[in-house]
Amino acid sequence: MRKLLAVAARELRERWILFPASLASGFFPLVLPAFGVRRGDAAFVGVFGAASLAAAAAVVIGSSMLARDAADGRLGFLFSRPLPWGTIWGGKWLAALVLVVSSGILAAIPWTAAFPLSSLGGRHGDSWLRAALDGPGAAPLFVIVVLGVGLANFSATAFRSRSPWLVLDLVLLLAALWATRRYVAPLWLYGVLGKEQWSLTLALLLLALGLLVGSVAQVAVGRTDLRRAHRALSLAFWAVIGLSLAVAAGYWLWVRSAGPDAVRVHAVTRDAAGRWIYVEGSGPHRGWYPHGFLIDTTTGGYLARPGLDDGLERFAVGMLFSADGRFGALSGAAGGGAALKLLDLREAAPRVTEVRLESSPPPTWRTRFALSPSASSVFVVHESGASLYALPSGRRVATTTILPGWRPAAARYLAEGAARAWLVPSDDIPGARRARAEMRVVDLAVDGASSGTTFPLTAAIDPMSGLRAVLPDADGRRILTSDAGLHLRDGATGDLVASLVEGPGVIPALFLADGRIVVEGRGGDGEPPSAHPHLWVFDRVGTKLADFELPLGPCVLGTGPEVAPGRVVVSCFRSPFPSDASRVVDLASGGVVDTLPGLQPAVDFWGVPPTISTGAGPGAVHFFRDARHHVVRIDFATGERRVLTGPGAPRGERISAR
Amino acid sequence: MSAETTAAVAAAAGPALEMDGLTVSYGRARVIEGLTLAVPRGSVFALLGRNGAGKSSLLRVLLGQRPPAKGRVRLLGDDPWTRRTSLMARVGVVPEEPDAPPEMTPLALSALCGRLHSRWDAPAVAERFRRFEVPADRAFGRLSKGQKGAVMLALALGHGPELLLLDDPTLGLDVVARDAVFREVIGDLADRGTTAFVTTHDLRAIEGIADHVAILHGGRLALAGRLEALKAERGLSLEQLFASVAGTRAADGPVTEVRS
Repeated sequence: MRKLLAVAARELRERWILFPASLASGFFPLVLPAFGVRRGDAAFVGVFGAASLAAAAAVVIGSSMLARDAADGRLGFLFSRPLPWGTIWGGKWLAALVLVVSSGILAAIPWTAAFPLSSLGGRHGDSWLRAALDGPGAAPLFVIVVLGVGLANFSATAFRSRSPWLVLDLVLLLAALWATRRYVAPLWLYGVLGKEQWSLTLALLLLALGLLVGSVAQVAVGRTDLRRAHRALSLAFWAVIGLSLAVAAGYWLWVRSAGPDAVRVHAVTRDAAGRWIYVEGSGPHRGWYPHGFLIDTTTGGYLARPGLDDGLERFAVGMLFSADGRFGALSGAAGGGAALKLLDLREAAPRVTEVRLESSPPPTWRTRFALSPSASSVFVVHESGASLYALPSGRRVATTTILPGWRPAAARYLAEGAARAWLVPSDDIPGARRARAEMRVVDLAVDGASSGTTFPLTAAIDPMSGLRAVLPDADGRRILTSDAGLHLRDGATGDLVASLVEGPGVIPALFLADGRIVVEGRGGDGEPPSAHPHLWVFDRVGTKLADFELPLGPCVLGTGPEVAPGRVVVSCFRSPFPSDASRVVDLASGGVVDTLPGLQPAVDFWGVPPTISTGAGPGAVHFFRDARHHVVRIDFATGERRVLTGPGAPRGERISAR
Repeated sequence: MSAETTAAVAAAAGPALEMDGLTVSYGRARVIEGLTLAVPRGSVFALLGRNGAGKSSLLRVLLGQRPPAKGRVRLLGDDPWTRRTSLMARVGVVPEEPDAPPEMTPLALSALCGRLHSRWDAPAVAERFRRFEVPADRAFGRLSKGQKGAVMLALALGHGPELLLLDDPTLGLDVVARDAVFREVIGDLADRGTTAFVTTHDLRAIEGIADHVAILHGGRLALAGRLEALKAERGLSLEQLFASVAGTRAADGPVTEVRS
């Protein structure tokens, strides 16, 4: 210890000028009030100054304590004494840490004494020290000091050695940044490690540890030879960083390895025949990484969402399925624009094709996608335009501009080569939210023909519910709008066909395969007409056909899906509790013909149009979710029930995409 | 007699410095290749060679500051790479370039060395400063080259080393300073029987004090032996011996010269 302190004292003695300089700089904030600067602002200048001085001290001593001494041939003085390398290393680091910390403290003494924290209305009593420790905390500050000194030492050693290892360092730095972006950033951004301070401290701690271990190797192995020291420093540092990144990558891969049997499913989309479903949900691990699986419901085999190159701040968009059931598409971003991962579902192992959509802006949560019935094109609507892209080339075949102040609410294909989008006023324009009781419809065809019509609404659509407030039917010929009631409108012009229900908010409704409309019945003031919920049935043009009182207590109804011609599932929600059972209601008699205990319809993704059925009627296969977030497949033709996903569900084989 | 004592006696009887097939390299560049040499205890051994012959690189290996690429080195019977700390308590070093902290005065340097060595004769060091006419209260960095060399020599002798390694200690010194350095070495030899291993270009100065000599040329040992015997055998002065050996390139095998 005596020798270590002697080495440290020698280092401090060489740089003694920093002590009075730091103290002197601490008086600078005291003169600021004389120039009209408020005391609080002067104290802020003091904090900034002390931190800057400590950082500068870290750089100065970090870059000189080993690298400069080795380059100048001065390390030999210590190495030719009976000093273990640990004493030389420890003495140098001790001096560096003392110098950096004391520089900061000395620079803070004058102004903290002159401006007591209590006089500035601080929240930590009258103790600046307590404020510093309560704020960022002593441990993170210490780690940052070590980091500053270590980084300065690494940089100085690397550049002073002028060895080819510098190139390797730069290459490894790029590799480490890439690995961090790919494996560490998701852990943090998806909350797996938590976004709390400790996870950032842990990352900095590992970096500091790498620099410390590197400098140990630098002294123990490199000794007075700067090139050899650089090599030892690099190897040790990158070994620590590499090991840390490997652990992080392993953890991330483990997090992502969860299968459909482990996730709590939040949303489901399905193809027309009910063979394929795409689910997203949260895994058994901490965080909110959206696990996504394309599941073959006939075999239980599943494909994890292909590609990790999508944005980290990804939002759930669901999978689009072509009506013919041959293709699925996942939207995302690539190369600064929108992109699709097109999955050919004709084989047991889907073939994935990455399609970049020509001249498209990157998608946001407001962008709407629709896949043509045979997946020959995709319709993309964003706030500045709507375009049709040929698939699988991604070439833009038609486009039309969307005027400012609109955003897409829904998009549908009318036929293979023609698509339609419905727009609502953008809530980004101040004052436009409530004032604009209007909508706009835009048609676009692959031959480039386009048209747009603005039509009035009864009332402005609530921007918070805009995504659910516009419900087109399967072929886009009719729409239901929730604008102070539920209104049936012509899909092409927006002309009012009939007012179905009066009342505020989004009113649950369902288009049946035969064109009829099922709606939750309400009274004139928007309340249910009686203590029991009612189901109203309308024909294609909005003429009321039936009013059924359901044998349920007061609740908000959910309607759909249509599980057989004229038979719909009705769910009853009593906030905040989910439905305890769903009922199948026969619309001919109004009677409940089946009860599905503990099940409710699987929720689809917002903004994803339901796949258009090519059959004559509704499919018999439908998907439900239980309270434990299992997805249950029910074939209403045969009565077969099968659990597909969720904690403890049977796990099928993992499919590799081609 | 215990095994340890026997080993200690054997070590004490062995050479102060021993190199066996020593190769020193920087990357792929070999500076010294296959050097085999023994330095008897109590001798003054002069290692001669032209610039780039590898003398300073050899010193770094002897001081445990870098490991040999191949071969074996023993300093006072121990491996300097693995036993550097204990060996440096028995070895004094005067480097080619004075490496003491420039902001410290010679007296402060002596005090610092006193804390780093378990045995330190501060009065003797101060006496040497006086004898060398070194201003002991002036920062080391502000001393002349000769004064710096004198300070380094005084510090190297402060702990009574068994072995003194001097790397071209008179390089750039005037005649008076050079004589003072060698007088001091000879004086210490007379007092304590210290072994001195000197690398130098200064043939005339070393000729008067060295009893053994080796000449490195092109990274290889070109000549080694007792100085008087070599001179008598060939009928040449040291200068003529050096010119005859180092004036031409070594014939057997290329050894890259590098600046270290």
